[in-house]
Amino acid sequence: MQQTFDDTGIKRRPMLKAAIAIGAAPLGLAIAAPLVGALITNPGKDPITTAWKEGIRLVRDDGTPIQPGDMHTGSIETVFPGIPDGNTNKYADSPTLLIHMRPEDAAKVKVQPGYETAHYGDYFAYSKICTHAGCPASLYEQQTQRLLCPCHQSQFDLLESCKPVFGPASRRLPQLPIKLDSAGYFVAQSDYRVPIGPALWEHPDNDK
Amino acid sequence: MISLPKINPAEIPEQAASWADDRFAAASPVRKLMNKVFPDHWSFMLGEIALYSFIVLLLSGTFLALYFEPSALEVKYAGSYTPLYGIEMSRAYETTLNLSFDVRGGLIMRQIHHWAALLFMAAMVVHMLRVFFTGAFRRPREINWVVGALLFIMGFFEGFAGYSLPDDAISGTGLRVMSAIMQSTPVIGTWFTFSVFGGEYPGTEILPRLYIAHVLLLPGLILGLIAVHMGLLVKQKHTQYPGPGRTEKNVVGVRMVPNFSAKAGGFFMVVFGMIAFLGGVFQINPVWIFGPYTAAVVSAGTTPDWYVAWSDGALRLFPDWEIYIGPYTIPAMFWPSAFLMGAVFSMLIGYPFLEARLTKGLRPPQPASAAPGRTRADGAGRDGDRLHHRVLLMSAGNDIIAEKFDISLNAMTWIGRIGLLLAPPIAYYITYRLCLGAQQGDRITLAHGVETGIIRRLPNGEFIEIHQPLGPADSHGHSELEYSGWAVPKKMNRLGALGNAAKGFFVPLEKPGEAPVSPAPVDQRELTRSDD
Repeated sequence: MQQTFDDTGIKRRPMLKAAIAIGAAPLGLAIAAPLVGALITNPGKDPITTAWKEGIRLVRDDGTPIQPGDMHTGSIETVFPGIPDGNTNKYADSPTLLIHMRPEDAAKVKVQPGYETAHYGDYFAYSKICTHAGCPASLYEQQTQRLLCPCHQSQFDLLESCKPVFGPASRRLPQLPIKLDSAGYFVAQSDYRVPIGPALWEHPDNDK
Repeated sequence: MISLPKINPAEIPEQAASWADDRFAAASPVRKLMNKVFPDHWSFMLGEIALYSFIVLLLSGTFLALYFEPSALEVKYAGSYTPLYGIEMSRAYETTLNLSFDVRGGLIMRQIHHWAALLFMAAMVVHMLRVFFTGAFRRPREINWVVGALLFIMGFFEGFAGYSLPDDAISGTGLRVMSAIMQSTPVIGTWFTFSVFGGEYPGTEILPRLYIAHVLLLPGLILGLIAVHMGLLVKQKHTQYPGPGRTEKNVVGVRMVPNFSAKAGGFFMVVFGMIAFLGGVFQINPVWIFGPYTAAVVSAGTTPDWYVAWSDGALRLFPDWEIYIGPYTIPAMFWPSAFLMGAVFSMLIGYPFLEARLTKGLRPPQPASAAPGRTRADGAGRDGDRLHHRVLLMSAGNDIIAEKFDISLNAMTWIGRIGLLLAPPIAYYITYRLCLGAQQGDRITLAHGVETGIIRRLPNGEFIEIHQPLGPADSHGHSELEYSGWAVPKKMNRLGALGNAAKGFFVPLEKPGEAPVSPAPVDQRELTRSDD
């Protein structure tokens, strides 16, 4: 009998210790559950959606809508969804850059497949939230046609539909499809088609 | 008339002491504590600086807590700083502005708090370097190293929580980056981030939660860990440099009462005064210039406090390597942030055990016998680690460096990337060679003796320098002393030949001691005479 036990190679003391540990683990979990449980929040669709929807106007910080012709060529403007509190941190994922490119630059833009009608003339709209760490990618280099994020220096090439060309970012700034509404103001065609901001585990579009 | 019993003031202390001893039996432990000996070497004050800055942090933080409200409630600013008048902002930012402009003494308290936090972290880092390079973390003191490492890590997050609270443009951006870091964690990242923020970033929950962490949970943990740190220190005794009369069982230095307590009390005042001077004279974190945090606004030159900067530098340098596993993504950002922090902190905590395992039997376990000479070469590897940190730290300021020195930003990024990989091995190699060279120099001195600086001309015209052997020498003047790993005297005054160097930085604090009768060779007088 003893021989059989020895043959298994299982020592009594470590075996007992392991058994106690396995037995105590659920007890620990039971104590932790109510403390942690209250904190747990289901992300739902929030990480991959923004406030933009079809027909929502692109408005400035002061709430005024924008028409073609309001902006000089080669200029950018930060726009927000034209909804109540659209420019506040309640919609921190929605700030967008509306760019009026110079006609000669706009002609050179390599549009992504599926985005042929996403821009309006020389006006392009891209998410302002950097796809690296979520800072606003807000520095516009008019001469090189690049957007630069001041936090970690990711650079996006406007001529390639905001493809990252330098630095740590690995994804494009998503493009917001835009059009004009009946009054002649810029509105969104839809929400962004890919999630904005930093990458995440459940990223539905995992090919840049 | 009631006659009061006569009180002899001279007896009050004794009476009070015996009153207390009758009730708490305190005499014996208090005597033990009062007699605790502290080593008398300057490097032992580094940990003290950290302790004293923490006391300053508690005092100034309590003041700030009376006026600060960690609320994301939107308000219109109506305080006395006119450039922001009428601007929408969070209550947290508004109360920070009020602290700076409308609370009497509020601004200096804020600045003292911030400077003290920087000093707290700096003192901890330097203290850790002392412990690290003298090997004081080795058996039997590994656990106190772990406690110290936890203190540093707690301080890291405590500091981060603290400078995220004002909700200005820079702290909000820092928090945004932190949320992206949490979100980059594989599998649990998204749920974890939403649970911490109570919903989508930024939400309204994060400021009150950070506040409780900053003023209650983390300081409580830090206080508790400090108590353990001190307790273990008293129980296990200080380490000390080897020297005459010093063993692993004793400590040579001054007693707690009266010498050390007087010194430490004075030193606390010096640290407090220094922090107050910094807080009063040097502006730090002028949040009113940055403006309130909004997700769409950021300024160039956004950098975290220095002790967090290494992680920000890593974020800037790591390439865009995303990994895909089926339908899931491991964001490139995971590696230089959450993974790197975890790895660095685990290495920090586990170092004593890792080293013990890797150098089994090679190394004396205890510091008094593990003298610097023998461990010189080990230090080389650690220099390499520090250089990693230096490069990352520098990269956190790469845009500022690029602007000030007019270097291309992209070039700075590449300098950082290449430097991160190349600089540590190069530094390791150089330090290693220097250490071997120093050891070789010591061996030569042991064999040939100390140079006396006395040149003698032999009858055949040859010039020789006279050496003072360090031990019994053979006919050639060579000793057979074994290299023992401790510093070797290389100058005659180390041998007591010329008296000790006078103390004092600008002017001598004391008269130089009378030089003892020099063991110089007899014909020295003749040599000097011939110079006349």
